[in-house]
Amino acid sequence: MKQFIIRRLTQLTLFMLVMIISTYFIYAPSPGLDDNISFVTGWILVAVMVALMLFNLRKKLPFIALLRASTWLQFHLYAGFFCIYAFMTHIQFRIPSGVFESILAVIFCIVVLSGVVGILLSRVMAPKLRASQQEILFERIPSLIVNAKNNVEGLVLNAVEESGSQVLNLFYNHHLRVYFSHPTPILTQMFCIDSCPQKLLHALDELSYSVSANEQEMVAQIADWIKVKQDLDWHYMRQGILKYWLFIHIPFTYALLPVVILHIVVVHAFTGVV
Amino acid sequence: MASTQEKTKSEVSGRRPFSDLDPSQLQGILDSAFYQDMLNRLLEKRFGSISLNEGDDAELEKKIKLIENNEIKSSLMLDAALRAYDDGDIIIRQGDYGHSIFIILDGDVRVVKAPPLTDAEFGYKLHTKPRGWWKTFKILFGQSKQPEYRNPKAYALPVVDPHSQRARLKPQVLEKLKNDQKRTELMHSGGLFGEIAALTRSERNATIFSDGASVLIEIRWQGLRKLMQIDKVLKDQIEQNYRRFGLQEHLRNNPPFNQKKKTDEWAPDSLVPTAWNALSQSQQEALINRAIFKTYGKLEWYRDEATETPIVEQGQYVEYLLMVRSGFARVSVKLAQGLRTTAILRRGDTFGLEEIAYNRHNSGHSKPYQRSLHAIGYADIIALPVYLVEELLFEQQNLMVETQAGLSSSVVSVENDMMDFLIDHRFINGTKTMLINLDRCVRCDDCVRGCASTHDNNPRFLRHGKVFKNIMVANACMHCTDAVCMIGCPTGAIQRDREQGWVVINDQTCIGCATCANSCPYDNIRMVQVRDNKGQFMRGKRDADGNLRLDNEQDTIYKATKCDLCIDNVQVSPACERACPHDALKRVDMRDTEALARWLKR
Repeated sequence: MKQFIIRRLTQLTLFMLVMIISTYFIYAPSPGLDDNISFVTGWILVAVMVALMLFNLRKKLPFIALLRASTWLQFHLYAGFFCIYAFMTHIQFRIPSGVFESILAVIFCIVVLSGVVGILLSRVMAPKLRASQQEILFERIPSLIVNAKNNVEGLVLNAVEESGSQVLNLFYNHHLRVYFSHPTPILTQMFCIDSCPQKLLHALDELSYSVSANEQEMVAQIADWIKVKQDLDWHYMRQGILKYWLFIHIPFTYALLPVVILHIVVVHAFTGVV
Repeated sequence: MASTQEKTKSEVSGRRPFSDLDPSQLQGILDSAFYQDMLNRLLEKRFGSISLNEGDDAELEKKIKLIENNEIKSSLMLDAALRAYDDGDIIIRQGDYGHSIFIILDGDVRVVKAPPLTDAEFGYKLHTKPRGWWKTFKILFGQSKQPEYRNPKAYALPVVDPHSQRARLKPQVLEKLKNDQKRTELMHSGGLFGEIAALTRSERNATIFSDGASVLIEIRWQGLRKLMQIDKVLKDQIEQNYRRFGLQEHLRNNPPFNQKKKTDEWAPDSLVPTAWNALSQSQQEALINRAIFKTYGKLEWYRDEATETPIVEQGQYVEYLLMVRSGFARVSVKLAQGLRTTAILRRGDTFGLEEIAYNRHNSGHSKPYQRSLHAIGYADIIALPVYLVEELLFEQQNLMVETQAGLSSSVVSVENDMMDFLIDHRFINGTKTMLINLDRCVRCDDCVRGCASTHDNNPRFLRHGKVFKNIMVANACMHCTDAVCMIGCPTGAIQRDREQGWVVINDQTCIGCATCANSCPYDNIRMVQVRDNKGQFMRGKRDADGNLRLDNEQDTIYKATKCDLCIDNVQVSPACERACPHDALKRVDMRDTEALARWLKR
């Protein structure tokens, strides 16, 4: 814990120093600079954004010695916060006007927000996954679900063969087939819509009163498999979120790039500053 | 090596090569009365008139019964087997893991002295070269689209006997070596070799091949230890050999004798002698002759602190400097009514040096051992008398004691339950164990991608494994101190890199026999089917000369693969650890418990 505190304090101190120095240079009275403050802050912003984008490139080149990815991430985070400050300074803390400026600002905000959400998710979700006491590889979850489905179908067929009754078969077709066919969607998991496990288990519990003693055993096993599927869904959702938030952050970063370039061209073409 | 004996006419000369026989025919010959008689005569000669060790009466009686009932042979053959070699077959290779001794039953063998055999003489590249900048740059554009792609033209294939799968020297090399009397030495029937490496489970220090056809007894190290217990002559002979060859190397290369003390700060490091080299020959011999060898514990073991064999207890008078020759030992301090583990020692580590240094400089206030030392499983210990260490290291050289990791008084230590988990699963064997902190890991697989990028799109570990609390020990090669995967590799493809000390597999030399994969107790070696650039499995078979011929009608070719710590691109080693953006993954040397504890508490 002590090491963590020292590390954080050191990083925050350095960050604050950079902020103070840059604020001084931006706002200190300077004859040449006062008229071109937006240009200066704009180019600083571009430089920081390019530096931020290099992180993705570094991840694609692990076979070249370019510092550790963890060092790059620390730089990415602090540069990201500085980028927010540079952006606010650049737009002079006002709400953008005009269509183009607004689009630019919105894309920028999406990138920033997705980044902040992403880092928060990585800090919060990882301990939760560990606390589940199950380590399941994300790519294996679909095959594990198929395995669960095959087991449940086997139990249902056994029940039909032994008892001759179609009760379990009908229940499976009506409620469980869809549930076991794929990972449960996020909204269903979050808000217990339609075939969420709690409703299924409740329905199964009700069903157990109307089946024979042998079938009740199978019903209990099916309930176990529903819980297994529930665990798999839980992992699938959380690991999926941890993987797929980047599908917002990175594409919008790439979308930001041409818009920024266009902005630079337009600014330099129509303001008389070369 | 044991001294050679008078040559007897080899009975195997003139017979068909053993490689022409199928396994059952070969076994029939080895089981025949001819060779069994020869074996009996050898055992009679070596062990018949045994002078027994001093010991308990019960032990003595047991030993006498063993001899009287001719049970030595049956006891020995539980740990031994007869091996048949043809002319040029490589019996042991320099650098191979030593786990057995050989006694020549019939025929001759040749020992290659200096210089050792080169890759060209072996007939294949034993060692891979690091990848240069240009090849690294080419990775950007040239990563294979097929999994486990291999370029068949790149192979320099060893000659391997199709039945035994043993590597063999090419005829022209064999002829050259046989004629070079300075470089090779002949050993005859009755000769014994390999005992030092087998005793210490270290690397073989010479290559030995069969000169003409030969039959040898191979005795694994467990059998060697049993023999040494019942035969004092053999025990003394082997210990004498170890003192002459093995102990000197051990003392020279391990602390504290490998420490350098600069008297002149401008002197280049290469000119500063080590503490060992600074001693005179007589002083070195004094240390060698007065060293005491002791073994603690059992060879087959399960962690149980109540029965871990104590070596020294905290508070005991400091009599010896203890050095671990092989095995593992736990260092612990008393904590209330229990013990707290502070370090795990293994081959090359020392115990007691700090106390000796302190006592040397504070003669009026001597300290006893400040910690306890217990054998985990078994531990071979070299004990050096304190008075010699004081005189030769501290009085003569005034050596500064470098505190060994885990032994300083103000140590950040690993929790006992975590330590027990690591010992239970034998993870303490690892020098580069992959640990993943699950509280930081976001399961992004950047580590796997980093590994794959460095290995032509083929990852060499699995981000999965045993979990304890928030730590996962992933399925990645640990580059063990005691690398049992190296036992029995027929071509020497799996070996310890001489510069880095990592265990690596030479892909070109590997014949896919899966000996290493089956031996690894942690399942960290994977056998893969290799493909060509079209994605088709490569198929082939060895011909009568032992060369691999590609042939689509034959079986698929397998190769053993594992983490090699990116040895051909050391600048980014290990790529997995460097690729993790959250510092969740670490390659840990289990010896350095302080660093481990710091990382766990990070």
